[in-house]
Amino acid sequence: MEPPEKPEEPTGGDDPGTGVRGAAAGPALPAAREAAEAAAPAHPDEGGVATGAPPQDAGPGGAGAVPPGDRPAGAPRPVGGTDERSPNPDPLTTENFVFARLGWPARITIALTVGLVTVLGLWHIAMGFLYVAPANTLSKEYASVIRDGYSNPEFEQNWKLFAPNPLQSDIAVEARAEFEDETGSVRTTDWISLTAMDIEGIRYNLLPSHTAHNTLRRGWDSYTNTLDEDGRPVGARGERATVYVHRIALLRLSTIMDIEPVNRLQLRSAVTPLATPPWDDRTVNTETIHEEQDWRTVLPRDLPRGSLAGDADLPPPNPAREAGSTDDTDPTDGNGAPADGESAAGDAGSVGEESGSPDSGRTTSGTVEAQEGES
Amino acid sequence: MSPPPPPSERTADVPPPSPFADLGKKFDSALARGLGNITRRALGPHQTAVVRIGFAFTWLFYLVREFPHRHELYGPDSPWGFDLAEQMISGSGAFSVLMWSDGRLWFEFVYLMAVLAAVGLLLGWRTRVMSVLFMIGVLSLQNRSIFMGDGGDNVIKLMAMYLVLLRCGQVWSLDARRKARRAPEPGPDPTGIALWAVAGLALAVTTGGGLLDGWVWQLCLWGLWLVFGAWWVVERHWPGEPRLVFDVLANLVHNMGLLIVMAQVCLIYATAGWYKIQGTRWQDGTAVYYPMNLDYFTPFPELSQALTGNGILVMIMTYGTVFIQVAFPFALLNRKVKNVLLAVMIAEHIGIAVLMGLPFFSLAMIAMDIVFLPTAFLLWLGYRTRRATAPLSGFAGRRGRRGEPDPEGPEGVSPAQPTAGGTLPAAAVPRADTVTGSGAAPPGVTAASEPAHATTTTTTAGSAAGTTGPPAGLPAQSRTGDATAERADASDRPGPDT
Repeated sequence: MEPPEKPEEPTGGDDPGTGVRGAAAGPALPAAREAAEAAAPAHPDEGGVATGAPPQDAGPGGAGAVPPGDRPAGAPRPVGGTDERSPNPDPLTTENFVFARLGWPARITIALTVGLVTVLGLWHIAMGFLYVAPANTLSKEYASVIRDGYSNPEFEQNWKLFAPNPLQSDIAVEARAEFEDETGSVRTTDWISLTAMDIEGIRYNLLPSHTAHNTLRRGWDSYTNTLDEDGRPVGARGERATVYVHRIALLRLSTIMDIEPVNRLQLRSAVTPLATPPWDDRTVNTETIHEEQDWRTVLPRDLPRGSLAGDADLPPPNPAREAGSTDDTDPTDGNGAPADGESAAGDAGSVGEESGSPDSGRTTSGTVEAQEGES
Repeated sequence: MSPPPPPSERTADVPPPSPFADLGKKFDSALARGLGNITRRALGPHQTAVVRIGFAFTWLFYLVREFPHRHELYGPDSPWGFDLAEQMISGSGAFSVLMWSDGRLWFEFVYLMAVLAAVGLLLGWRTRVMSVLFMIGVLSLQNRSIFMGDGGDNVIKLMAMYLVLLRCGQVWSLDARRKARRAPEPGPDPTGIALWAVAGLALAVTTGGGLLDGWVWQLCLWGLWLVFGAWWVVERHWPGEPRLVFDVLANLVHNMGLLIVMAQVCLIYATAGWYKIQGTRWQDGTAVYYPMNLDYFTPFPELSQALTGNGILVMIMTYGTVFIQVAFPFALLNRKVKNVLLAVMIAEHIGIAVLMGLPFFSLAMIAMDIVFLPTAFLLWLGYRTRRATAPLSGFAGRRGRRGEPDPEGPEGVSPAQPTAGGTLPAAAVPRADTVTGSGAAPPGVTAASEPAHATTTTTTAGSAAGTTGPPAGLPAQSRTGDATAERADASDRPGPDT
């Protein structure tokens, strides 16, 4: 498709070819060239000669006008002509330089660069292609080179825009919190739709913020992608996503109600399939399906910037603790307060206890990690 | 390229000429021509300039729009907190200066620098330096919070890196203007020296302090810094061959960068299209209906519902989207088809911006598309823009008038116009454009008298790439323009018909 990619190899062979236009520069030249160019369309032949353009140059220069047939005729003359016309104070302008007349160091530098740039550029394009193409013979064989070896993290890309199939359900995220009110009694909020807040920010807005469009939607995507069959987040990546969505939930809940001090938090998704278009004979049950996640005891790190106060290290998910709180499906039971106190200690303890785990988790999930940024 | 064999006379015994005759010779000359093109000029000066402007504007607009939300998106208080980001980046190795400190002040500073870099790049002030800063800004913010971005951010990120390779300030930039005003011999350039010194200091501190880790980034940034320095020296004290070689190398890198940008656009559309083909909803012609009825993508539900109420319309939109996305890379082989597709594509993105509430995604996509716009159109657009803005400010007006030949020399022409004069063979457009630059001057006169200067000017302008501005040679911009059209538009040639 593009000229730049082809010409690299036979650099040497090109010298005589490129090296046609020796003379240039000098105040006289621009005028001359311009004249030539103005003339070019009308009289291709003169145009070529006057410009001092070599046959090769005539191509790009007067491209439209010069019939290919002219070249042989106009070819040999220009060089001499130009040289005579403008005795050249500085023959070395980029636009007109003659490769063959450069010194060896310059020639070698240029030739090597042509090769290097071509190889690197084509390599980059090839990597990009293999990165976005479906898994195939090549990309499976060299996956580590293509993905982690070269493209990730900076050249990561994903262009499956609404493909292969667009999302066909509204996915809303809802949250409720268990907190202590002024009297010290434990209360649970209603389910609050966090997504509704996003939609509010998007509706009738020509410039919706990324905070409304992406923050929660993509966070929730990432979170649900890391859940295993039992609905528990997997690995360090899963834990990060978990902390992330819970932070979002806490932030948003706290903007509309006072839930301090909060003990526990529960999230659920409300998936509502879109009705099929009226002209489509398929039918879909558009009933909303709720899927509740486990109650999560709110840890300091779930609070925005919470972990900055102390150790920034995240403990891996603690199955025992999570399981414990999962059993408490009744949010109104009295376990909230003690659990909170416990968990703070437990949090600190678990950091030391399982600090090796996040690392191993990170390495094993390394390849998954790379895709975390996409969607 | 190769001319069709002449229509054979079909007289009895004369065999038709072989289409393979002279193939070797033709190949050689094509190769020589190609090499000449990629070494002697930085192709697509207008296309790269407008891509630069497009992405700088998109990112700047985005940063300004999100200014109230900047903490939530990228700040230390983001729900995607510093701790989470740190943990993730320690695994992925992504580059972000925001990870150097969780201080609020540092964050504000980085955000501000990102804004300023975008402004600098938009205006083309020290374009190359700004493109590096722009890239650092984009990478730092986006890598800090990966969940905040969408496809538009992804494009911006890739292009921010590619822009560093491009001489994208050749026209329509303050650099070009400065070059045009300056004497042929480059001065000492105190601003450039200061910038370079500050950059060096920053690099030394961050490298020494262990902040800038990863040999790839050290190599890239230090390498760029050294190149800037070397360029300054060569330009002033080592004219002749060394300067020429530098210029040629910059052209080579630019041209490869341009190819990468164009390939990237093709990859994006091809991927988007080919994956869609596999989807049943895209096959049965209803796909567009769904996103346009999802809560997240319906800022104007009534409008969306009205549009998706008609099954045939939905099917046309669905199939049309797939057609143009799949066809795009191939359409580049034909100028007219390409231009039509480009127009449709841009229109679709404008529609997406409004109907689906994805303005920044759409802006980024459009900024990417415009690398394929024909030069003639860009020149016309530049002309219209300048004329439209001229009355608004004295600044613009001055700029417009600078099109007149400068008494000091051939440098006083506004960058855009020369190309016009030189490039477009005998068309109405070039005349008009030439006039453009010269503001009040009567069309015919300017067109006739100026081009000589014009050629020079642009050239010089063309070489303005921040401190790396190449030597003020006399590259004939006129031809560049043409080459542009041919290359950047993939077999496009500027013409009024676009």
